[in-house]
Amino acid sequence: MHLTRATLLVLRWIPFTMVALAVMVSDGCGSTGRNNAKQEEARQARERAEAAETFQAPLTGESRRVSIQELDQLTYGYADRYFMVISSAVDDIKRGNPDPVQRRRAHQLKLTGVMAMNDIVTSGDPYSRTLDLVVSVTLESILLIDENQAEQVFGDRATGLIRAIRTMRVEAWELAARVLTQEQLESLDFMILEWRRTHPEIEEVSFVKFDNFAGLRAAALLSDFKAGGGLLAPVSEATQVLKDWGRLSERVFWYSKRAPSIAGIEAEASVNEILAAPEIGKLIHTADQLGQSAESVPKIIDAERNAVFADLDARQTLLTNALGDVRRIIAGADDLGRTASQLTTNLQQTLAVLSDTLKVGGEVGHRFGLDRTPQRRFDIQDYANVLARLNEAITNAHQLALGADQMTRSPVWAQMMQDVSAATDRRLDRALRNICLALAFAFVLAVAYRVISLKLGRKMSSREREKP
Amino acid sequence: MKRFAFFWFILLGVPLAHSQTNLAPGITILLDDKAAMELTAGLSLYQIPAGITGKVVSAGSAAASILVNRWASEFAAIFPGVKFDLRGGGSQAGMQDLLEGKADLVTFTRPLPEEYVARFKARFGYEPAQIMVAQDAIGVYVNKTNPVAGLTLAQLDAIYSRTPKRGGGQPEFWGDLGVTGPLAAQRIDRISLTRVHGTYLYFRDFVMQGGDYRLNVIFEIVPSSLVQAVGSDDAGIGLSSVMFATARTRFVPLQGSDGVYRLPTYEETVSGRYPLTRPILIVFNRKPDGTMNPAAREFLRFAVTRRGQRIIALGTNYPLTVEQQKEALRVLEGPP
Repeated sequence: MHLTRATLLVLRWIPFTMVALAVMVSDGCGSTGRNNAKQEEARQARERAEAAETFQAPLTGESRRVSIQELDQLTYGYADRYFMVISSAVDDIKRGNPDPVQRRRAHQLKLTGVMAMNDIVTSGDPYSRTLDLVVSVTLESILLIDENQAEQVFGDRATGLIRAIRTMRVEAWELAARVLTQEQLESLDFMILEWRRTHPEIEEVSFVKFDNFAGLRAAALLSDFKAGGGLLAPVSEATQVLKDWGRLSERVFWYSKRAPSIAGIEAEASVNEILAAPEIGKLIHTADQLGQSAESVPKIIDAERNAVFADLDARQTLLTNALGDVRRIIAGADDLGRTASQLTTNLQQTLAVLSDTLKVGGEVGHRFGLDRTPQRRFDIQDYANVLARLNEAITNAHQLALGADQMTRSPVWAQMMQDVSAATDRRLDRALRNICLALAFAFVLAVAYRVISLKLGRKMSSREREKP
Repeated sequence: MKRFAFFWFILLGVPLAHSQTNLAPGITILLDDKAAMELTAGLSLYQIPAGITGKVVSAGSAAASILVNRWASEFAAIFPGVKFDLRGGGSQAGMQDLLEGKADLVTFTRPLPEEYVARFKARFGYEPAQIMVAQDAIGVYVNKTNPVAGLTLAQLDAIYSRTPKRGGGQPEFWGDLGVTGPLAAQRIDRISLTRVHGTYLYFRDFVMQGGDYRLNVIFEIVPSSLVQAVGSDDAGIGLSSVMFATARTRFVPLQGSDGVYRLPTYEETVSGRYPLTRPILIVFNRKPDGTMNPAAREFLRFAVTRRGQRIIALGTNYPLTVEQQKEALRVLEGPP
């Protein structure tokens, strides 16, 4: 292909022309930079305003219609995010939390939430599923956020959970806004609020379904939604039947992949339930006490050691006192012995008198044939005197015992014991101090010995060297 | 000057100090059951007529449709022959339905705009009829931990408006609104209902004086979600009917025309001293000869009598006064 001279000339000048134009344009921009910046800013503001307005368009029913397959994917995605967001928030509450009740409640929340979500997402009817999803998450958010239950149960740790639940509610409504009109959304919101207003006592709201909303308006909303009154694309019945098989297998596949995680959460919840049983609680308490006991063993040993020393001293004192008591008892016993001895002597004397009497009587009787006449008449007074003395001795011993008992209970005795205890401590301290001093003295002696031995050794060796 | 120090303290310090310490959740200022019964005791009773049948189609504001739903549940039990088709969708769409003859009743949470009256008159040749069925206030919701003492309408305008017209400055942080402590350094999270809601329009027209919402306003689809958003965000602020109050939110006292900061209680709302009060209206088509859908007329009569008002008062809404009820019944039963 041959180019004419004129064409070549034009082609040669095109790059130069473009560069020149670019320079001119950029120069122009530079010269009117401030005005253009303002214009640009205004343009951006306009665009952002338009974008903000457009953003609201889906909420007023102007977006394109969503197919059932798309809705399936949206709900699956939502359920996965729910699992992730709520699990993270709950794990944050549980991490390092010393309160077992809070840990258990948090885990229970995760379990019921995830179970309810899986239950909803794997249900066959896409219409009910969407409504159930919004109902469940919204009620949960009302309970935990609006009614302030999260803060009441978890205190300062509730912040993350509140944020998580709020996020999931917003996402649930965004999902619903893809398939419901503004009017339908308002109806749904009203029904949820009314249901809660009339059922304030129900705590487990995760499993509440749209079907629970009685009344014409609920039925009207569902039928309108199913009839394509929302933003969900209607499909023919035949196409629907065929597609349902594919969607069923998808649901099974989705659930089978998540089943192990759910089983894990269930298992942990079961463990929590077992641990929450009163018997187990008592056992844990006992184990806890055992642990505390083990921790306090060193303290106990120390205390016991002190107690043993104190006890020893107390015993020593008691022994000393008891010795005095024994001496007094012995003295008392001596008195008793003397009394008994006197008694014996009296008895012996009496018996001797009796014997003499009997002997004299026998001789007289035998001499005069009057063996039946006694020398001295039997006198009971002798026996009475003996018994009185014996009684006196026993009374003395009893009074001695009483005196000892009263003495141990008296404040003087307690004071004495305290003095003894203090004296023991002082003695122990003194003993320790003496040991320390002895050790220090021994150390000084050892050092001195070493120094002296070194010096002597040097002297000896120098003398050895001086020897010829 | 020192001589008047005590006076200034009483005048300025006490109301603000009172507001600052009033961090009770908003729900506590709403009517309890006892108050609801007492406030409705003077209203005239509903007399049940015989043979009411037909269909009532209602559309309009989301917040107001909640009341219509509550009345409809009770009314349907009295008159099983009456069927209901209750919709929300906003008053703008509802008004269109009324013009096209697709709706009997349209609920509004703001005064009926002149433009709508004109359109109706152009279509039918006479003005639409309207009655007040309840009273409402737009509460300024903040998180229950937010210590903001009070706001002026100028400050509210400046918070939400891209083009503030009341001279309230340009607050970006809570510290700009007089808040101290950790929240002072946090950016204000502005939350509003979407443009289909009466609150959006009322606030834009009345407080922002026709200005545009800022670009960083977060829009919520339904009122309950707006209030929850504020309850879960320490730095959030939102506007919605007081009927959605929760345990995690509180109302900010607003400065009235007399300079006093007021909460949206029943008394302040009824007296109109709280600056953001609004009527809940039902607009309907009544011909010059007084004829209209008989089922719809009976439904409205039921709504404004003691029975109907108690239903909504027990649901934390503010009922009509005796005078307001008389006026509503006059419109319903008297000559046009």
